[in-house]
Amino acid sequence: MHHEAMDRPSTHDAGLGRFEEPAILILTSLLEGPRHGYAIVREVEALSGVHLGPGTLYAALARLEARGLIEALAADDRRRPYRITAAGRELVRGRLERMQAVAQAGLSRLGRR
Amino acid sequence: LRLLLLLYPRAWRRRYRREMEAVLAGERLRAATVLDLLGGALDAWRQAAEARRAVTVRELARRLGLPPAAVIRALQARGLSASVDQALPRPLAEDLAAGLAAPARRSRSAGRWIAAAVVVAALALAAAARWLLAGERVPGAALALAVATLLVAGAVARRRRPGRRGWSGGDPGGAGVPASPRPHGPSPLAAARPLGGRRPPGPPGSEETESGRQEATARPGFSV
Repeated sequence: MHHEAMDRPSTHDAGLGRFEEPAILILTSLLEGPRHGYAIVREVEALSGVHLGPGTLYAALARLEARGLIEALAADDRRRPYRITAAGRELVRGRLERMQAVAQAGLSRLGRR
Repeated sequence: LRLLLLLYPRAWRRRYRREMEAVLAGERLRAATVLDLLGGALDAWRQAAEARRAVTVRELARRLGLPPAAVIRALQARGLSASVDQALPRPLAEDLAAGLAAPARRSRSAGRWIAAAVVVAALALAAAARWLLAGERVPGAALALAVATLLVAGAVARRRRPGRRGWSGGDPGGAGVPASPRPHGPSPLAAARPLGGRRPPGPPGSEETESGRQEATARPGFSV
């Protein structure tokens, strides 16, 4: 079986290290619109069943912000919303396409057995 | 749990403490949360060390041999606001440099073609002048060659100018990220969950932008 997305070189190494997975979950959550930290935690939990601890959440947010993948908006009291940037959209698109290709290949192989 | 935030670097606390406290308010005291915060503190110190290697937009432009406006346009193509003295964290600066180096090389190559065209045009004009001084009729081909070469050089020079094509357009000119319009407002789902008081940063020079820049310098990723 041949999958184009798997052959395609992945988008550049975002330098997210071990925070890559939470970062992709956060970016996916932000695709719906700006969210603050607590809203991101709740949405990621509803979306994937993964609970992001506050340490992991802000380590990933800081990395994403430092790399220009998200942008902080004006704070409202203690809550500051974040918005995904064009670069963030591009990155998450590449990652999600690869994940989709892997999922399709896996499900297809399961179906053959 | 809030006491654990004291383990984070000061710049980090200045930037994220209030937000993290808001998130911690919804957390139960569990070993997993404590370990998560300890791991986060270690990572914050590592990021703070990385941020000390930040460079400004001006410095990055100087290293690449480009005008600062080119770097600013590349940042804007990523949906980021920028100013000349803004500090860029090293990973973002390296990423931008990789994208901007290729157009810069193309620009240098175009410069060589322009120089060659100017030399050819000068030779053709010199030949025409020599014929004129000798009282002979100037061959139309020599004049046509000089004019055509100058026109080509002018066209190449116009294309070479950053901003005419490239970073501000659909293709960010090698910045690696296509430009996309900023969203004009939150999606219906975002609107259904109001975040209250959020608004995009104001135009350059506005009070909000200024305060945002001051905050940005306090961020671990943006401190110098």
